[in-house]
Amino acid sequence: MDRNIISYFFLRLIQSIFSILGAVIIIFILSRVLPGNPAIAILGPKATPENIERVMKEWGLDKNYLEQFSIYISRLVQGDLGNSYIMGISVNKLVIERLPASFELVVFAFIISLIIGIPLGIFIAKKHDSKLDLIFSSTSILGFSFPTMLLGILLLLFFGLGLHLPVGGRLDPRYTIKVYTGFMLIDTLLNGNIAAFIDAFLRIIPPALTLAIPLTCLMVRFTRNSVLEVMMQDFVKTAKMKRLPESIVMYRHILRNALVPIITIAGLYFAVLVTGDIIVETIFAWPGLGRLIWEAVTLRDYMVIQGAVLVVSIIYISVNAIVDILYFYIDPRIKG
Amino acid sequence: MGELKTILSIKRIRYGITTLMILAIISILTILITPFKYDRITYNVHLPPLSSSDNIWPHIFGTDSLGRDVFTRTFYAFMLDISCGLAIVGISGSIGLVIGLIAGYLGGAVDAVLMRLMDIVISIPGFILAIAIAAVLGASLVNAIIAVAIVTIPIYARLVRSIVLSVKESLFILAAKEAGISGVRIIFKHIMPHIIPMFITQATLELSNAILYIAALSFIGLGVQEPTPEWGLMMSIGRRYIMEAWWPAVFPGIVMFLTVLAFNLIGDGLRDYLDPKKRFSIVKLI
Amino acid sequence: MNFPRTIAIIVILIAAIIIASIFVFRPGLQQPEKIIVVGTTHNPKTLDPAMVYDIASAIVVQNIYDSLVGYKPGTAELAPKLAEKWEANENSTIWTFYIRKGVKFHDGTELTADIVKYSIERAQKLQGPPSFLLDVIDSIEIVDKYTIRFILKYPFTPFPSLAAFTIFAPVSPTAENLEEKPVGTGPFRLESWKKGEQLVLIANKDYWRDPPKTDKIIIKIYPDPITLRVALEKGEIDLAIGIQPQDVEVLLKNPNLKIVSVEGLVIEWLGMNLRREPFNNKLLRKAINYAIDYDYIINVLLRGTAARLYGPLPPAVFGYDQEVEKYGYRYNPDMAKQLLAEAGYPEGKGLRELELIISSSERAERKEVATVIQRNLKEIGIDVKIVDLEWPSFLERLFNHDFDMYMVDWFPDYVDPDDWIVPLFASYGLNLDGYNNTLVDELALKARQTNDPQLRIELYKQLQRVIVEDAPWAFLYVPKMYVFMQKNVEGFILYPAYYIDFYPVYKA
Repeated sequence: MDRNIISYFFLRLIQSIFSILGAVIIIFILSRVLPGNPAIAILGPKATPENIERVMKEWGLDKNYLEQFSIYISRLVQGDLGNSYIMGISVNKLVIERLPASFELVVFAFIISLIIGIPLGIFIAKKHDSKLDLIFSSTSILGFSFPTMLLGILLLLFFGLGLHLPVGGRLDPRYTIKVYTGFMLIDTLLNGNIAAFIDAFLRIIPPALTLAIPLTCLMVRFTRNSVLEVMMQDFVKTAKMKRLPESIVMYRHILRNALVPIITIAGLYFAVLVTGDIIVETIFAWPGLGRLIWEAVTLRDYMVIQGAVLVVSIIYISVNAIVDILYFYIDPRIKG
Repeated sequence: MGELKTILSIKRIRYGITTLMILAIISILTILITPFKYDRITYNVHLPPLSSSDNIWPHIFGTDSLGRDVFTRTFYAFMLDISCGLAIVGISGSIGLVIGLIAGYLGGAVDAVLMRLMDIVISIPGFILAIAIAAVLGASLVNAIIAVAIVTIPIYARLVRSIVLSVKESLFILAAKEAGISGVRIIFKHIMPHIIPMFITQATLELSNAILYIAALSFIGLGVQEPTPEWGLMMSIGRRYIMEAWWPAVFPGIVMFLTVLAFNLIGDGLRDYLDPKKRFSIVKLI
Repeated sequence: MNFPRTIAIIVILIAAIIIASIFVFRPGLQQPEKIIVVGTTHNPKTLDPAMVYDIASAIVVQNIYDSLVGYKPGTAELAPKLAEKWEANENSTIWTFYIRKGVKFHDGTELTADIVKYSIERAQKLQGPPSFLLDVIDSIEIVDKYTIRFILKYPFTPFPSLAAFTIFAPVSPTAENLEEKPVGTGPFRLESWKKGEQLVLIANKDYWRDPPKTDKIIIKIYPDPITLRVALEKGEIDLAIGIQPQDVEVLLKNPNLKIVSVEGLVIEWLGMNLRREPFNNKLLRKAINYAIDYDYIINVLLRGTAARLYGPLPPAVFGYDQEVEKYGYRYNPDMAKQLLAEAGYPEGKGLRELELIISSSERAERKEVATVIQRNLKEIGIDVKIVDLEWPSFLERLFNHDFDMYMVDWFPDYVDPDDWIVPLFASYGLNLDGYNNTLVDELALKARQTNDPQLRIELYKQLQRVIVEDAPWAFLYVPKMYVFMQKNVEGFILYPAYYIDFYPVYKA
């Protein structure tokens, strides 16, 4: 049993490394075959061939792809993602500046959807096949069918102009906050600035809701379904026949088993969302990874594209791997 | 036929199909008899919903920033977006199916290579990869379809492969192999029937996903081009005026929402029916 | 253990915090300092004057660094800045600049002619995007501590307006890492910069003029103009740069806001590929010029936030000939149809579908302008397909001459008609359209090399007439520049050259 898990762990680890390697190559190729180049993007209509050529030469982009790739890899293995051509600064720094913003937003959205989604799902499962169940199950499908591009802007207007709450960005720029962790909600508290904390808290709600509404609906559905599934199983029926109190059956027997698939699904979604939602980050002026990638793509800032997408991919692949391993640990019948 | 009846008796599926039918009928009627041209620019900019026009029809959904009838455009877009969705699911589904079958049935090195290839596609978050591919190919409807199709292939490939693996070792297939029946025959006769139900379910759910993808690509400017009506494009232009006129952005959004909802309802119902234990509750890749 | 109760308590607690924070604590911000918050859709990329070649970065750099030459308030006319005066030799090949005395960098270094030379040579060595602007310079001579001489490769009258560009801003020779820690002579210094999020500038108390009236300028970046508008209306920002044209009308009615606007120098046009069929046919090009409903574009779509462009030059620049408004093209679909028939394509018969490439990522309204043009041309029988590309893809096709038609705007590097005529219409310029008229080539060269203003006006007058007659473009419009601000913001002046100066701004 244990040996099984260890060997599965290593198998998954090797697979992940291969995936990351593959991602590095794909991103490199994709960014280079994008039409145009960073010099053209910055020079605009005045980019004569000579101007482009000399700027590209200055940036080391006149070398052939293989040479560029080997330079990139040799720096990458030292943990250096290279320098942005256009901004002239290190990509490591850029990514580290942006990552906490995306992370904080997604964690916040997740907390909302778990806190609401799981209890609601359990509640509906208990009342399954009633009218209430039908209503909630259908509304939960509504939630994840709604286009985020519209939901985001409507929430922005509702919170900003309807409720007169602060929107846009992570914090009112007039607050000066010393950065410790990069997470605004924690940093404001560490600074002992309650007013700033409240401001940051209010600002994170609308973008987090934009992400959380579909996610919550998803959680409700998964929770309902997996709780129902466990409730139908024999050991639960036995427990009920033994006349154990209902709450004990629910929490000791049913939930413990039902939570496994829920956590799995949540993990997978977390992996997707933490990569940054370009549309939400644009609407709410949220300086996250998604925007960084989009800005880099539109400027053809190769090093930033490569670096940011690589970091995102690594997070994504690792979370997936962890979820798989967890799942294997819990239910070794499943094979990847 | 009995099975079809049972499927249709599932409420969610019935609601889904009804919604789709209604939208499709409105859309066909609109295309056939609308007095408005979808690309006709007029001075009647941002007329509110139900404003009267020079024609017998009022502007049911109002007019947009170029004075075009939003109702007509929204339902032209219905046909376009549904076709895009079908094209994407068709392309990625059939490629995914073939890859999944080959990988699952042959196993060994072929399986390893194909699945690692799929892993690489999955290793880059879907929307980012779709953006990159669409940007490389150039902004157009066809390229956006190709981009989304490529990104969604692994979903089907993984699904099909896992089903093939689960039935490959079963007694009747081993028996069929023993009897010297050819691989192709085994696949079509004995394995496919197991795949089809789950495959169709997944494809239905992916259809809604594909529509959201196409709209999102057009929204950021990498998909359909003006003056072609498409929901994402209509929303992306309409939202710039949303504080002045909400209708050009909200109505396409609502119709898109209903369409996606309908596919989700059908897919969800099918999944409950075909796979009550949810062995293959595959997560949609956003 | 009671699972649902714990969760219920958490939910209630969080709800309580939210409600409390909404209704109870709405603490006002205490501001002992004078702060101005600027919201903008422009995201600065670099703050090194040797590398800056985009408006977003220039807006910030202009406030940290001073160029040699500035502008008179609110105009495109040149005024002394770090150079007190300048003069040229007879044929405009040698330019002498007299540097202001007693100017100090943020780090205390005193500005001398040596430093000016060092800064420009540094920019030449770095070969950044704007470095081509320095190609006209052959060598730099130091005359004395405060006098510097530029020897040019060829006669170039507009040199002083070129010297207003940010690449001519001296940088401190003792500074390291100018990308992240700029050290200039400007009215503000950079305190912090979170890329893509915000920049904080603080007043330079030792500025060579009076110190700025505001202690701190915070520049916050809003990638989405709708969010910018919401922030402006809510009073979260004092000044907004990048409000969309269609929002102007509504915001003007808001009693808390005011606008400062100026006729810009940017021009927007529809270019055609004269190397190809059918655009090598002048009659067809003229037909297109008559087919476009300019009034709809400017008044309905852009809500009057732009002025009509009748010829190659915007009205605000030296040498603009008002006559062009009489002989320029106006919307006349009948004339367009007639000309199209004369061109050999009656009702568009025999024409293939033409491709119009645009990039709407920087100017969202361009997509709709293109849609109007597409429809206008369809009405006279020309079928057009719009392709909206991202900026780099668009430019690549533009430079490879892989297009039928394109729409783009042009921002001058120096405010002189030379920077429109030569790059855009001379065959030795960028020659995007493949336009080739030897008369234009000759006149443009002559105008660039002459020192006599009267003669230059004559030459540009002639040039405008010839170019309009040849119709290599459909001339579209000149977008106005405007900045919205709260009523209590005073002193803001907008310059046509997209120079945004925070120095005189203060809050009443």
